[in-house]
Amino acid sequence: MSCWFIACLAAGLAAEARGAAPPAAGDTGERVIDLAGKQVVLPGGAWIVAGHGFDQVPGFDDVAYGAIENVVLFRVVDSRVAAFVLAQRNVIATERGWGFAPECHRADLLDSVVYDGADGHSFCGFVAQVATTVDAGSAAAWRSAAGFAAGRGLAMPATWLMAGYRRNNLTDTLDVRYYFDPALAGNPAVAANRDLSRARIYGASTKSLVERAMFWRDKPDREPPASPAVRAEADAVNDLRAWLGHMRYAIEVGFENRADELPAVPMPWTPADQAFHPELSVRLAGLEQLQAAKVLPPQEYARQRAIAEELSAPAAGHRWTAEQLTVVKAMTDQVSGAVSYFGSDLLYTGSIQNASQVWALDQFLDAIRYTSLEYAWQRLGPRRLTTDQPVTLREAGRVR
Amino acid sequence: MATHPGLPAIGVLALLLAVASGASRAEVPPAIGTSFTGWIDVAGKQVALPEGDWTLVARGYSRAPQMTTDAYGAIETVILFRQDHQLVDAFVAASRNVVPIEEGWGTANECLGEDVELPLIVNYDATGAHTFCGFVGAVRNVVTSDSPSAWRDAASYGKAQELVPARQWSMAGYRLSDRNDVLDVRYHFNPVLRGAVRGKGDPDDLGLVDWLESMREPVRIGFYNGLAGLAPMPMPWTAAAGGPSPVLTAKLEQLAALRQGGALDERQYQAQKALLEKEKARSVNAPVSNETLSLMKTTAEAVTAAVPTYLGNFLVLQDASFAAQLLGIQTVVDFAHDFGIEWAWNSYGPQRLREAPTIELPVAGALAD
Repeated sequence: MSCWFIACLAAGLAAEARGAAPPAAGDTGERVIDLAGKQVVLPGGAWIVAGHGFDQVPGFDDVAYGAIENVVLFRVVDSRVAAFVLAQRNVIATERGWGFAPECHRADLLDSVVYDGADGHSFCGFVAQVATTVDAGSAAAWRSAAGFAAGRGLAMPATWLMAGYRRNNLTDTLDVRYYFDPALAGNPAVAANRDLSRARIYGASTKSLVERAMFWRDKPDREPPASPAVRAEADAVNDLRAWLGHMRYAIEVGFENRADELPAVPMPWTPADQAFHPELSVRLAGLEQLQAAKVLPPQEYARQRAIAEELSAPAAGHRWTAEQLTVVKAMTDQVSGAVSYFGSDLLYTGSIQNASQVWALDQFLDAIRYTSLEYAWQRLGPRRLTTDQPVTLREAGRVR
Repeated sequence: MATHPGLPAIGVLALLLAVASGASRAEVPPAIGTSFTGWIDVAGKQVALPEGDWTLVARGYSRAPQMTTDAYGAIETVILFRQDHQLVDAFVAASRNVVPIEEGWGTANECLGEDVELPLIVNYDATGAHTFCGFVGAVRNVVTSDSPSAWRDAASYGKAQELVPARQWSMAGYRLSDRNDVLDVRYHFNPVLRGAVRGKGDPDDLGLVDWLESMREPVRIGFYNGLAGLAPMPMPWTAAAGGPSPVLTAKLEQLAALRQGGALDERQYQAQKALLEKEKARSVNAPVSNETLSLMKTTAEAVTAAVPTYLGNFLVLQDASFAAQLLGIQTVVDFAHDFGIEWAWNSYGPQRLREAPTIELPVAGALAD
């Protein structure tokens, strides 16, 4: 393996050895790659560097981010690309944030989960089917990787199941997408299927509307299939969605360059994935260390361990727009205020007719006033809703 | 970890080949007396150190009394001295949670300016569970039985080594947190270092305003463990501190490398270079609390509703006095209702304010009045 800007973790201790040569296609590695100073976690065994490049972000002309550096790594099994990873990252830290990935809020994808919706700190995951295409709009690393595959006679499936993440803070962005041959799910029906769309697998639904209206409800871990005929596909996608949730913390830890704390990361559709809970592993390791050092007495250790075991990754929920929130709040205001307003009007006027007239007029005026005022608060107030905008990076293939 | 690699931070791509399995955070913390340059790792986060050799003099663990329902393990605190023979030039106190949590770490009293009066407070970020602020203040060199164990141990170390501390320190501190982790780092400088330049700048800001802004970036970069290759910040009140920051220098080097490698053409390079050179630190207002926001909105609603509601009442009742009296009752009912509803939306709604309680972490010494 050539060593260009290479740091090798051996026995848990980082021994940095850096060179200046660009990455060479054919380099192999496992567990973690470092991309422009951020770690990207790799599941399973060995991965081969297939492409590397730089791109610019359209519309980012007034931001000094250098370039978007991207890399593609292949997992090759019997002259076939069974999986690949596309990771992208800005080279130079900025000051004003990186918006969010458009995929974070696409209801037509197989899944999209917002882990953190805070302005300037968005973190989300998504699952989609992706067609194998290469064109001028593709990420530079993907164009190189396609040439690498052709040169080595590596076959690729026509469709991939992709689990991706976008993790941002005010200064940096990291976009990591894992593409898997559907055949890895271990079911011939899934492997042969060219249409793994949400509409076909789960059926056309008003999921997004329902979710937004019932924001307090947790999303189901596994969605039922649209029909028995697509049960295998739904199971495969549900398994990948579970893997997406398990990997969330690994991505976050990689973003903080602490991937050496993680246990080995499994591939999806493997037995090891069922038992993969990296955040719990890290938390328990920390607590055990403190107990061993007698910093935590046994009782306190047991209390904190119980809390750690109950924690699950919170999804921040889909963000509401200022318009949606204003409408729902105005309706709530009208409904919840109706009885008390009418009661006070009746109490004072002593006439149902007068009270009704005052109440109706007041409600009408209140609806207009409240709506416009609330909208102004949401747009301009000290705690206004997010001003983040979607930022599109170049892709490998095309999300269907 | 202790020594700075001194290599450029131009990240291209590196493969990390891990042969160890499982969690592998360093099990044996460095011994007291170990010397550090560049940064020190505190519970998995790099804490940036200004230039020079820093000696680890104390480490301790404590609890955060406000965090009663979170499994954060403990708060680890380290204290490092920078010495000039027997004189303690400066010291750093850094605190960090050992175990990551999920719902954020609130903020520091010093970020809000409540309960403490500081010459300078700058909030760089205050969004949801993400907070980052810097502050400047004078700190008295006192040790009491209530002091954190790390600070008491540091004082004992100084006494045993016959070191001479300052009676009062000029402190530049930062609190940085996200949903999982918190880092509180405070740099204390012996005022004698200010020497001849003592008269420069506003006497109330302790001469640390520019240094606070420059050090902000290394602190943030350390929070994400990215300090490798970055030159340490110069000490305040030195000639080097007035020059370009190490972070800007590193960014310009990265940009030049991209141009050299063909990733940027000359036009793009020049445009981005100009942007970098004029880039200013981002700052935000201190966050408004749920109660304050609810009160502000409810008051605004009561004020804006008065005239139309009175006119509506008058239209129906045809009596100015009755209309006014009814308006009084309506305003009281409306105010109570609106405040309750607004508070509930802000507390439990889909875009609820992620309240940031003030979390006190161990500090060294005591803020001077």
